[in-house]
Amino acid sequence: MSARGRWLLLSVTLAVTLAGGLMVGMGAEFDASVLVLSLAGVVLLATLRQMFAVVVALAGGDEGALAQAAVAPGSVSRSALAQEQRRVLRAIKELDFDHAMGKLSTADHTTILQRYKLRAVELMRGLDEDGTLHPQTVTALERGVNSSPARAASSHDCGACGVSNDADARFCKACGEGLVEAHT
Amino acid sequence: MTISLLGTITILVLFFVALATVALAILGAYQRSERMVDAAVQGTYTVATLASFASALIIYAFVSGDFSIQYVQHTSDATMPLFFKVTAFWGGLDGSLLFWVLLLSVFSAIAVRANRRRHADLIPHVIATLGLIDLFFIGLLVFLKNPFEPFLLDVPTSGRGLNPLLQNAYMVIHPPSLYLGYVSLAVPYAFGIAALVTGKVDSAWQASVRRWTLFSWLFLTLGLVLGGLWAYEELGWGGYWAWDPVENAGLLPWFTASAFLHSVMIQERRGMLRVWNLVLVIASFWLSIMGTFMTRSGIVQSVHAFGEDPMLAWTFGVFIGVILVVSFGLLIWRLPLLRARAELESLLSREFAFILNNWMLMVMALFVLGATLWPTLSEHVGQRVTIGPPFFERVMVPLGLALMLLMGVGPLLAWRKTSTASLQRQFMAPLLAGAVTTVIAALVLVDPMLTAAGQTELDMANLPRGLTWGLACFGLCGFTTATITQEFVRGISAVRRGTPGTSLVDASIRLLRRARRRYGGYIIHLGVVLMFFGWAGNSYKIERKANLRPGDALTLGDYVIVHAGLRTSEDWQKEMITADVEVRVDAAVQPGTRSLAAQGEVVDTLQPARWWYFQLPDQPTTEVARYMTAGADVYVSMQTVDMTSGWTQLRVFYNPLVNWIWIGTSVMLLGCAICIGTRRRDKDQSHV
Repeated sequence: MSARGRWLLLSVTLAVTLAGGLMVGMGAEFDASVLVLSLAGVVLLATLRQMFAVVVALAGGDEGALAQAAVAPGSVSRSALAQEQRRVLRAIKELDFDHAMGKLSTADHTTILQRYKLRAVELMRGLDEDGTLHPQTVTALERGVNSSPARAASSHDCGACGVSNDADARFCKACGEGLVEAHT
Repeated sequence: MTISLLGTITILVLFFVALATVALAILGAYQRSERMVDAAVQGTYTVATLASFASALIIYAFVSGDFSIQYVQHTSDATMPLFFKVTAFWGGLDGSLLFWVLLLSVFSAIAVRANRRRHADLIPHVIATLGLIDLFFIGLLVFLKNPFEPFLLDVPTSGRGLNPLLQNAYMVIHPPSLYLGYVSLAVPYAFGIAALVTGKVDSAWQASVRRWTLFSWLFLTLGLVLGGLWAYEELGWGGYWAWDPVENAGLLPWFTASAFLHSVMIQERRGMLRVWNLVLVIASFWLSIMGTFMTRSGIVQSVHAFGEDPMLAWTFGVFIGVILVVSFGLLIWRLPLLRARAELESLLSREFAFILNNWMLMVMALFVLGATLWPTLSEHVGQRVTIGPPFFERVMVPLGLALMLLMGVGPLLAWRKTSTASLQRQFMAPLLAGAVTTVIAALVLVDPMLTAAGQTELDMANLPRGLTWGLACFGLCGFTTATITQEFVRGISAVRRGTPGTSLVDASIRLLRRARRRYGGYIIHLGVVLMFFGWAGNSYKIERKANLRPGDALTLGDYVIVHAGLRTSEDWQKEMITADVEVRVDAAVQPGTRSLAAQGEVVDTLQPARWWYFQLPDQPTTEVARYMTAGADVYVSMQTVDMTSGWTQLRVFYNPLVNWIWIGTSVMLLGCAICIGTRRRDKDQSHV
């Protein structure tokens, strides 16, 4: 709502309250039907204002046509890639959770996790415009994919609080203790 | 100017504004003109305010008693309390159509406002779809059923009044709640259609509709249960669900919406079932319109209603056909875009459990639809076939129990693949719990179940149906409860393992926040289990019909029911005959009704009654009285009464566990609230 609209609303409310107060002061009776009728009046005002907004919108300029990319069958849009990436990342989270709850054996967990991680890397590459990744990201990802999670987990338990951290973590996610010494 | 003229003009204006909005949206989408789409958005808001204005006018007519309007005269009178005057707005056909328009317009405005920026490319198509649906109903108001229609000659000075059966608090909440559910299903449908038209059939459209569908589902559930509660308290036949066509009409979209809420998760996680999800959204909306059609045109109950208003029935029929053809036409046209990029990896996965659940819900929906329509269809072929509750129960009870089993098994499976070792570990405790529950139920309840079935001894070759299904239901309740508990316990301990040192409460809160939709869903499941527990009580319910005079008694399970006297009274609306019925316990049960009356301890005095409203003297209402405990209801309704001799015909029911259904519903609503309050958090996480 614009500043003008807000002022308008405020002054109308004030006027209505004043008029209502005056009427009560002069001894008018208020019953349900008066209330409903005044409500109807307010709604009518809103309607008229809204109709005016339609006219204003129609009279407005037509700057910039809607960005509507034509969809060719078979093409994979960027948003679809981004969505799949989000899905894969969430799936990894869920996989870890299922594993923690004992629904998946560690062997299954490892194989499925590796497949997911590869897919995630693939998607990230696809999402990156020029198809290359930052060199540090590449090494980090490769380390993440190639090292067995079971081994990685044991070597990245935090020395201070015992929480297991990701293979490439430099600080503990629970207590903030530095982890870098642990694997250098 | 009279209200009726002003109202009629408003509805006409509403029609043209809606028409213009649809035209602007379509043109705007076609020419990619931002100006026109903007105008269409504003037009959607205008339609909402105009519909509100028309509704305010009709409420004003009711409150001020403007009996020159036919609809007002038919459904209200001056003596009604204010509350019922306002709710009489949706008490009849014409008004409920206007109410439908009001809800749809307001929902459209909310949905468009919420998604205007996020899914700008879908919006014109959403507006056009919602606008066309709205236009149909507004058209009905303009051409067939104007609620503002005045009396042209002989304006009456008093109203006919609302049916006393409908002057009840449940009846005030129940239709709007069902309507909220029905009408809000149009929004997911519109987004689905917009996705099909634009070809953006990835998951974007679902992000907008998941919460809407949950919302619709919530109100459908609430509406159905309140309808059941109304039937239970007001109609006096001792039950809450009779597989009546009108009830079934509300149940149908509930099945498909439930299926959609489950299958949308698979699409979200795995990108599978895209076509199926669209089918479910279309089916839910189609069934909600079908439900309105069945309840509003009277086509299902009898041919006479069909004959009374063939115009309305035909219009609706054409509309239903058009929706079906257009929606599925679009779907088939876009099939090449909808191929899944993932597939099922193992039958022992949660995906497969979800797919099974979908199939079952779909089979239930199709069966109920078929069985509801069959009597009407058979009439056109030849003999009219009537289908009663036993027929429905024969199919729905096993299906419902199978669904319940799946509800217990599904959460124990992992996505993609479950290993056999983990299967054993997961299933041990729940299976044990199920077995223990069955044994306990068998020990405690076989006797009452046999009594209810009219047998004295356990005959293994000829087990009563109620006994088998009842015990199975109790066992499954135990099994599923154990599953859900186990999920919570393991989840909490997983959280505590991840971050040691958290307290139990802290860990539960963390768990709920980490996977709110998942655990909210489990809470909903817990509510469903409680409802099944309540239904299982049907296996040993007792029904008695008896003619008693004051002083007589009869036994009902462990209770003794004593007729203690009759009273008459009168107020400004009605005449009442009330019976005092004592509920006693601990009586040494002996044959012979007279000797019983003096025994036992009175736990409650029930007052069933019959009311004769002055405006409808030949339609007395039955006022039910209940003695409620957690274990059972003693439910008494008075059928006929003779004041001179004192003979009173009573229907007495012993309804075990019935109150658990209402408790289960509350738990479900709680779980639903947890799920609904989740999306923003989800979004934040996905961006981090």
